[in-house]
Amino acid sequence: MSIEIDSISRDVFQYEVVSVAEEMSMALKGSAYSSIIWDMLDYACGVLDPDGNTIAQAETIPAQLGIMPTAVKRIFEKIPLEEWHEGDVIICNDPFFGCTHTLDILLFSPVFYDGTIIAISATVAHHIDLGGKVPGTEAADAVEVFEEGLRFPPLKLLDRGEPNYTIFAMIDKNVRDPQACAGDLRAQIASCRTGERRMQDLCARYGPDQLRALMAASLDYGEAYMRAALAKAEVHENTASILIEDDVTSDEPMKLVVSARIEDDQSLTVDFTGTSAQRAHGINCPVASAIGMTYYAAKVIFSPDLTQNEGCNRPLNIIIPEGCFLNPVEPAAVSVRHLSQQAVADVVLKTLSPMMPGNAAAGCQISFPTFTAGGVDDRPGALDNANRQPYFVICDIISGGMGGYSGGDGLSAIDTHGGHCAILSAEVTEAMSPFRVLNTELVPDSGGKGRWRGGLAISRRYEVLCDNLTLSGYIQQTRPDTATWGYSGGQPGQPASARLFSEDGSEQRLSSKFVGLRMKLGDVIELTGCGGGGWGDPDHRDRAALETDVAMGYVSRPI
Amino acid sequence: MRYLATDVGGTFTDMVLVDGVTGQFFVDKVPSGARGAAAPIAVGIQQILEQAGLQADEIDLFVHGFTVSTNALLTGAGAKAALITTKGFRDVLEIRNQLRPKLYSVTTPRIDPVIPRNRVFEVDERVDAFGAVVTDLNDSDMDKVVEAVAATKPEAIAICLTFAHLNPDHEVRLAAALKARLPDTPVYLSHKINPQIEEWPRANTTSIAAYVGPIVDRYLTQLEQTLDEEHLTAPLRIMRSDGGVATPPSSRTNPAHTLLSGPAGGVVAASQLAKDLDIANAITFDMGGTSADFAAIVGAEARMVDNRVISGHPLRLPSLDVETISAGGGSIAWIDMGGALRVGPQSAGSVPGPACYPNGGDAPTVTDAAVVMGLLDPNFYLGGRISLSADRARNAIMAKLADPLGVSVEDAAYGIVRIATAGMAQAIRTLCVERGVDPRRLWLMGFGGAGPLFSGFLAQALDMRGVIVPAHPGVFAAEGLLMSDIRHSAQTPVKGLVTDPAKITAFAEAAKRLRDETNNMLAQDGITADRRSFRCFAGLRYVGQYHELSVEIAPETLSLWSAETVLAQFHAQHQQVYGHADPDSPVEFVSLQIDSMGRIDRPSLMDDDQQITVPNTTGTRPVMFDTSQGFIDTPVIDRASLVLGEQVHGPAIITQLDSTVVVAPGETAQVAVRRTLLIDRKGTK
Repeated sequence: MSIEIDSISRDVFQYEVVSVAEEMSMALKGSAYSSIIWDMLDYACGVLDPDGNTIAQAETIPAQLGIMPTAVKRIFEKIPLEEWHEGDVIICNDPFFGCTHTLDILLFSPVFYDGTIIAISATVAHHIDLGGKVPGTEAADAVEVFEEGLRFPPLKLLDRGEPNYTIFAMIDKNVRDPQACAGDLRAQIASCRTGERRMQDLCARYGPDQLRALMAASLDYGEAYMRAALAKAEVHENTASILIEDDVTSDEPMKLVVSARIEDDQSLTVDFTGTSAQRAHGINCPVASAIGMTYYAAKVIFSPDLTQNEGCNRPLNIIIPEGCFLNPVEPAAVSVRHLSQQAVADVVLKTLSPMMPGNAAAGCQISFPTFTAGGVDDRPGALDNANRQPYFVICDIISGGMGGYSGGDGLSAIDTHGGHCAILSAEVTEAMSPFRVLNTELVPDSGGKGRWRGGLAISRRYEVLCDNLTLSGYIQQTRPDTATWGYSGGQPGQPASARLFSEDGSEQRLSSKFVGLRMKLGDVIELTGCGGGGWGDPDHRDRAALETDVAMGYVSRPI
Repeated sequence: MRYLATDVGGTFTDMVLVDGVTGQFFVDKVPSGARGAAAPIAVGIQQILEQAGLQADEIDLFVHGFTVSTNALLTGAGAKAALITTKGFRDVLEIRNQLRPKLYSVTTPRIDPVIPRNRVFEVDERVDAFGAVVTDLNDSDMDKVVEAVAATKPEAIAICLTFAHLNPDHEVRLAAALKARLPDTPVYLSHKINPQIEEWPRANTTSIAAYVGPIVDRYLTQLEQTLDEEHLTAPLRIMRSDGGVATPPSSRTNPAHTLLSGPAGGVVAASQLAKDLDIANAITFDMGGTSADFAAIVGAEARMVDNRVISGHPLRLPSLDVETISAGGGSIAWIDMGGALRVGPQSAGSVPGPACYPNGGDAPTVTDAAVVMGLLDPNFYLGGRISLSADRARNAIMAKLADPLGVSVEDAAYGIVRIATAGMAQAIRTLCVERGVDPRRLWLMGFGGAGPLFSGFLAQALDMRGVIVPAHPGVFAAEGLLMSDIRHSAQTPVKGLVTDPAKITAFAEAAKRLRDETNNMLAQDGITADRRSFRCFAGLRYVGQYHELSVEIAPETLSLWSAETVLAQFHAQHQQVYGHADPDSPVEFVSLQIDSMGRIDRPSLMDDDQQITVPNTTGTRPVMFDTSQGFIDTPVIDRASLVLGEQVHGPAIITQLDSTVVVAPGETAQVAVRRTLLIDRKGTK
């Protein structure tokens, strides 16, 4: 195994292996059933080495970054690699065994060449429903994981190419849309098979020894790049914390604490000690997601332009004490972990920002204002082709402001960090469901003041056009102590809110988690995101920028 | 017939003249001059007419491609436009779809809207999802908004009201009021420009029309004046993004159609050449100084898409499916923090240009690598127009790459080409697979200044069949302008099951209405009835699905509806595109599109009967094809000397005025019809 790899051959190989991951991604997207994969790209595909290190991952949504290696290394504990056979596909989604929430199903398959495993194909995809207490499986008020649908330990979904019909039959009887679930699983299998074929092609070209050496060289390169980036840090130690709302089990917010330190060997320790204990509430974050979002934050600060592989994470030492809400123990509920994983990204970014301020921004919105509603659409024009009033389900996610950064104002109206979800078109919303979007507006003055101000939040109002429906949703950063943070003299952004305007004229401010609201014709719900934090002393803001702010109405009056 | 085509690029304007009387073909390149000016074209016209020995009034058709609207959008130099929206939607251009420009960056600047927030106005009106009026547009509100808009003295106005594609009445009334108050200001209505659901892409497309409209109008006026002065009386046709051409009035009506016309000419030319070569499937590769465009030709036809993104701005109009990647001759090579050699996305452009250029920069580029490897002749670049410095190329590569990496200058140069090729191959492969096309075993058609130089490396990296190099790769896009038909397309939303007789009748009526509309446009363009043809496309989807598929409806199906035929087509297409189909689910209409074509006479380019007056080999030079073999003494052949059927065995360099063709050892180039070079990598059919 002492094959010399020149750097250019290694770099050419890295393009080739990314191409394999991209092709897996096309295969998955191209045959998936659900719009969550089509439109929200809530999936990931990667090629791993036989030790479970990611060699290449297709770029989809950051929330899925780095999930696959964490999971596969746990799977090896139950099914060691010697027991992986050609044609196998292994399934797992256990939040307490290296996976994220139950909806994210991971599939792995070995890539064989001349009888040995040379690589692993891996995919993870968010399924629209896996059973549990509510449609869509995610329930903020779930107390235990047992309310969150099917849980798969590491199992062979396909054994030497033969489907395990017992698993498929169990899925069929326990999820709300079995066709979509089976269809998306088939898409994941197709993606794994694509990865196998393409890696075998590469192996035929290079030979197994050369391929192994190229993979090792690629990981070493990722590590070297990351250590070189860490060596440029301007500050070597920092601690930060943020708060997020609970509002289900307690009015007391939860605290995330991070101490980060760059060691003498250019490694980075990220320690979450001091973070609040887990709670009986779906907001707990499975450890794989907490690790993944730490990878994300480190990448944003130190290596935003680098093609990610597991080598980049070698210099990271992440400590998350068991029992805290970012490493919860069974039977913690975890289904709405996207709220807490956004918070992980935010607190790690806050801690790392002073280390490389040129790549950093002040606090970005992690407010995640979202709702899901369902009911019968009784509008006369909405009758389906069989003249029935259709049942509808609709979900929308709206955005807020990004933080200001050295040299620029934060972007307004952005879905940040782990997410990358488009806002629903107002016209599509009204065509698909009895909701009329009355406005979608930037919120003037919502960006935190600073030399470079925070981006503006948006506010959207939805009018109910049917007799009654049920609506649930959640939102974060609703209070001054949970809102975005300013950097170096910059000010926090304006908090987010959710309000209900009843048809009778009364107005109600909703808590950060609202479950099972009954709404009637003429009621209006308003969601408003959080503005981004400001960067630097507001007194140093450029005069022309102030004038533009007022002229454009981003700021309501001269300061 | 005699045809003249001019394609204006950033640096050069390409000219092609085809004399249908004598069968002769003339090409030229002239400097483009100041951006946005049409006058410099006069020089080009004079030169090529002189070359051909023709008078201006002997030209029968003049087809023009230009980038003035694209440049206005790329550089933010469009017109001062205003937008009117429904109350509550003022921020539609600012909010976009709330996605960030770069996933792993929190410091990437925003993409500015084409119309700033202080020139966006709201009007109190509302139409619902079924086209019914919820809030009527009243005259006093209308007057107020018209006055407010007038106060900003806009050069153009866009109007996009909610659900205007279902009920355009309010847009029409508002436009009439604006016309009365501002008679000289063009007004673009969303239900005319892009009658499709989803407010942001519709508003953005309409706003872009307003943003580039006055620019296109000024340019065309100047062009018409210049042509007048040159006594070029032939009809003027303008290239469109969808590969068709338009009359000047039609380009003024929807100026957004000109935005992606730049790469369209090359793709149109490529599909024609594929037909002439009897090759069904190919990938086109048009590489220039800063970027490379490519497209898939499937069944000798270029693919279409219904929307494209230009520098972050979605434009929802039918256009040829051309992808652009930022890789060109000027792409800069550098070493990153982890010690890896990277190429691009930074480019030295044409100023300062590659290190080997007369006033070139210090950064080593892909072109510098080609000079060091001997692929390019420093003394015969762009036909000798520019003399390159091989020393400067070597020095830049040595200082910035070879020394830090501890390798030889030649190895570093070859490394640049390998990395650039690997990056392009990855992008092309991914984008091909996304479109359901596997590039392996297909032909790669290389054109543009740098296309023929690098096609071979790319074909090898993608394991393709071989490379096709057209006769005049440097002016290929201009050639394509002469192969386009006049085109109009019209769209409308429709609704209902494809099996419901009442809805089928409504669909057929809507198709007839659009056909009549576009038929009138063709008549106004002066196209006689025997030259008109129509294609009908239905946007279909499964009930409950959101994405639609465009299915072509044959004329006989339209007159005598067969649900089975349409359904079978839809299921098959769904299977092909999405990998599954569900024949038991009901299928519904979403939209209807009519494409109307007016056939224009095309020059015949099949004539290969040109006189050979030049000697075959002009000498040899050392060329490096890869590092394992080092430099090989390689024959240099003048392309003009090659006759139909002639073979050239690699290694060889084939030179011509507008490009350099590389034939690697083991490959064989053969001259096929239209003096095309086919470079076979496999040696066997």
